[in-house]
Order: sequence, then structure tokens, then C-alpha cells
Amino acid sequence: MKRCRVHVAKWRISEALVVAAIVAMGVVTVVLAKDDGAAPAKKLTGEQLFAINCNRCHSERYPTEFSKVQWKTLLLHMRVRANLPPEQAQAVYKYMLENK
Amino acid sequence: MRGLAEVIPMKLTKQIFLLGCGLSALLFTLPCQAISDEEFRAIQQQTQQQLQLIQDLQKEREHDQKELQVLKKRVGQTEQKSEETRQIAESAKLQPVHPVPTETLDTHNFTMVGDAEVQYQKIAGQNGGFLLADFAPIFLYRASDKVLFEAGADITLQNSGSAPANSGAGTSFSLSFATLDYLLNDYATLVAGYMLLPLGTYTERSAGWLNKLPDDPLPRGVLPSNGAGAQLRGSFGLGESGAMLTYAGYAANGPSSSDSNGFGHATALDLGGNVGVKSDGSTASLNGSPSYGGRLGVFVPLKAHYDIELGASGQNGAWANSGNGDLRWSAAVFDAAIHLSPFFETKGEYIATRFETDDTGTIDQGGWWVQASYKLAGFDLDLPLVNDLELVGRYDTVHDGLGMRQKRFTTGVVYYLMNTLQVEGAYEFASSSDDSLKNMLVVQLSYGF
Repeated sequence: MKRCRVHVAKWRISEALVVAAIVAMGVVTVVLAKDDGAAPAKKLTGEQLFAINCNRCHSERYPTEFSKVQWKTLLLHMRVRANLPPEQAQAVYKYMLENK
Repeated sequence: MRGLAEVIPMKLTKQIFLLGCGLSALLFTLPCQAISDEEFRAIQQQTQQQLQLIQDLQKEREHDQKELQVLKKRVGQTEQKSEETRQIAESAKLQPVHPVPTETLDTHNFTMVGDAEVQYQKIAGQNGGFLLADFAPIFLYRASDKVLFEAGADITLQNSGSAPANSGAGTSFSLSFATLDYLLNDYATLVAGYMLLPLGTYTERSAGWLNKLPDDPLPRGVLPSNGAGAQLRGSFGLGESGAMLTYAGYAANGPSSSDSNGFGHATALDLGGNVGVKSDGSTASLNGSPSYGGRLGVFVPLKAHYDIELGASGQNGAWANSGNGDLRWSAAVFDAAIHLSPFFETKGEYIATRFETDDTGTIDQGGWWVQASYKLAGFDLDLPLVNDLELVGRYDTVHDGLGMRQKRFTTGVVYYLMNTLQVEGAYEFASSSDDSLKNMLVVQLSYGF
């Protein structure tokens, strides 16, 4: 019984440490982002939205990797898979076409 | 043509007016009393010439009028022919079947993306070898701007032999997902079919070239990855900064029970078995009610490459029937991901599940994992080889609620040959209560296409 309690205590400590680490990372992120002084503009460009949304799940894809029609399909796919709002998907699509 | 009709009388009127003015001027310049016979004859002759000119102009005008009428008639005939041609073309069109798609055929498209992996493993105490070759295509068909069909498959080379003397080479083909997506509006999409379940974010982002380590975190083993059912999902933008609130709600068949380990028993839980028709012709569904689940997430980008994502998700439903009614299975998952520059990423999940059994009571399973990675390009060392490296570390742990507990620490490195072609190397330091998990070296070549 005592061993079990020790185990539970250890478990809770390790979980608490992880939660604390995540919270700390969040705070550091906010601080570093502000320190840079480069807060996002009022209306984000397609390039900014591409950097914000695409690279957080996978390596960046270059505009020349797919055709115009393929990009249209891929961004529809990302509207579903990544919950990308339509206006953001449209801006990213436009950015890809402009840089092909 | 109307301009021509107007020009002709105007020209004539102008000439008559000028002629009148000329005659008037001539008359006013001559003295009334002193006009000789010779002068009178000259004036008479001039007047006759002017009258002749007027008659000629009148004839010319009549001729022009006739020509104008001919031209008008021809224009009318041309217009009539054009209208007849248009009507013929209109009647030749196929009669549409409602509802009529708003897009033309050139917007339709079929695209194939996906990934492929080759893996070498060396498990401590065993022979090493190339143990995995995987081809995982995703087929996308955009039927319109609102309809998308997507299907992902895994074609994997594996060993299926049971005795040393048997030929063990085999190939498995499994469907990861196959869904019909209908974008209802800007905020909601209906996804129906065999879905990736939004329990946490790992399942939807775990393709070989997305995951920086070659295998899955341990606690993902207590969750189902897929489910047959329907889902409503979408997002709401929060301001102009790119922040968004995401949601997903679904109904799926949920986990099931296998018969071989004792129906409804603790070891009979089958997370992916409640699908389709069995070999004896009966449906695989072993309970009368589907499982329900969903995820709520918030994504806050502070600027490009600096963002935080937090999410909470869960599922609840019956997994088997017993004499006392449905046996329930439920799960809760909390996920977090942080990007802190283009080079640093950390993410993790906390997973807890609970299920009722016929033989062991209620069982709690779960675990958690956290992974961090750093791209050495962040040091800006101007060394091509080093700049293409990314260091990765992960800690994961799981317990099955029946006394087994596993822990693992993985250290790895990713070398990017191209943006989507990478070599991943990892060494896993493992420990488990039942010695089922061993230290292992894994090297994998991944390509995303």
C-alpha cells in the first residue's frame, strides 16, 4: 500500500512538472514574441499565413511543387484537416500562385 | 445606318440654305433701278442653273434613300439569322439534372499526396534488419469547391510467417481513412466515412515525414486512431491575428470486444474492431449505441513561427454488452504544442481512458508524452551539413491498468536531404514492468510527396 502511494505521488509529480513546463514554455513564447517587436499586422498577408499555419505541422512546401489546380485541391484538404478558415486558405492559395 | 439617314437631309438643307443666302446677297448688291437686259438674262441663267442643281441633289437624295432601305433590309435579315442560330445552339444543349453544379469541369481535380518510408531496426539482443517498407498514399478528389473525397492507405511489407522454415514475407494493405467532406459553410464541414479521430492531434499529424521520430508515442496505443461514422468540424477566426477556435464533434461505432479473449473481458478490448461485417455475415457492431466524441482547441499565433495550441478532446460510448447492460469505454486527451522560433518546437499529450469489464471491474489506462526538437540552422553556423540537422528528444510513458507500465526516452536526429526527404535516426532507452519493451535503434528514410 505504501509502495503504491509512493508510486502515485511520483506519478503526480512528474505530470505536474510536465504541465508546469508547458505553461512556462507558453510564457516564454509570449515574451520572446513580444521582445522581437514584430507583432502581426492587422491584416495578415498570404505569406504570413503560410508561415503561421503550414510549418507548424510539416516542412514547408514550395509553390513550384504543385500545379495551380493541385494547390486548390490541397488547400481544400487543409481547410478540412487543419481547420483553416476560408479567407486564410484563399490568401495562402493566392500567395502560392503569385510565387510559382 | 441611322447616322447615314440623318446626314443626307442635313447636307441638302445646308446646301439649299447656302444657295438662298447667295441669291439674297446677289439681289441686295444689285441696284433696283439700274439693271440691264443683259444683266437680267445672266441672273435668269444663274437661277436656272441653281434650280437644276437643286433637282440633281434631290435625285441624289432619293437614290441614297433607296440604298439605305436596302442596307436596312440586309441588317434585319442578318439579325434574324443570328437569332435563329442562337436558338438552335440553345436547343442543342443537354438538359441539366438538378441540382446544377456551379463550377465547370475544368475545376475538377484528382491529386495524390502521401509518404513512403523504409526502416532499419536493431532491437537489443536481436538481429538487426530492414523491418519496414511502407507506402502511404493519400488520394484527393475535389469534386467541387465544396466537396472533397479523401482516402489514405498504408501498404506495408511485413513478416507474416510463424515458423522459421516458412516464407514470412507478406504485404498488408490497410485503409487509414476514407471520407467524403462537404463544406457546409465557412465554419462547418461535414466529414463522413472512415475517419481519423480527433482525439488529440497526433493521429491527424503523424504521417511518416511529419513525425520527427520513427514510431508512435506509447500512450497512443490505448486510443483508437480511426472510426467509422460522421463528424462535424470547423473553426472560427478570433480577430485578425490568425488566432482561431477549432472544434470537432463526431459519432462513431467506437471500440468493440473480441470473442477470443472472453467477450467483455479486460483483455478483449478491441479499439478498432467495431467496423463492417464479420465472416459469418453478422455485423461487427456489438452494442446498440455509437460512441460520441469531440475536440475543442484554440490556436494563438503571436507572429510567424511563434504560436501556442491547446486542445481538449474526449470520447464516450459502449464497447460491449453484458448481462447488466452496455459496458462503456471513455477517453480524455489534452494536447499542447508550442513553436518558439522557426527552429524550436515542443508538443505533447496527456491521455486517460477508462473502461468497464465483465471480469475485472473498471480499468483505467493512460499515459503521456512530450517531444521537443531544435533545428541547428538556428545557430546560423554557415555549415551546410549542420544546418540541415534537427535534434529531437521525447519522453513517453503508458500504463495499461492491469499492472503493466512502460517508460521510454528517445533521442534522435533528423537530417533533411530535401524539404520532404529526410533521414531519421533514433535510439530508444526503454524500461517496462514486464520486460516487453527493449532498447532499440531505428533509422528511417522518409519521403513526403
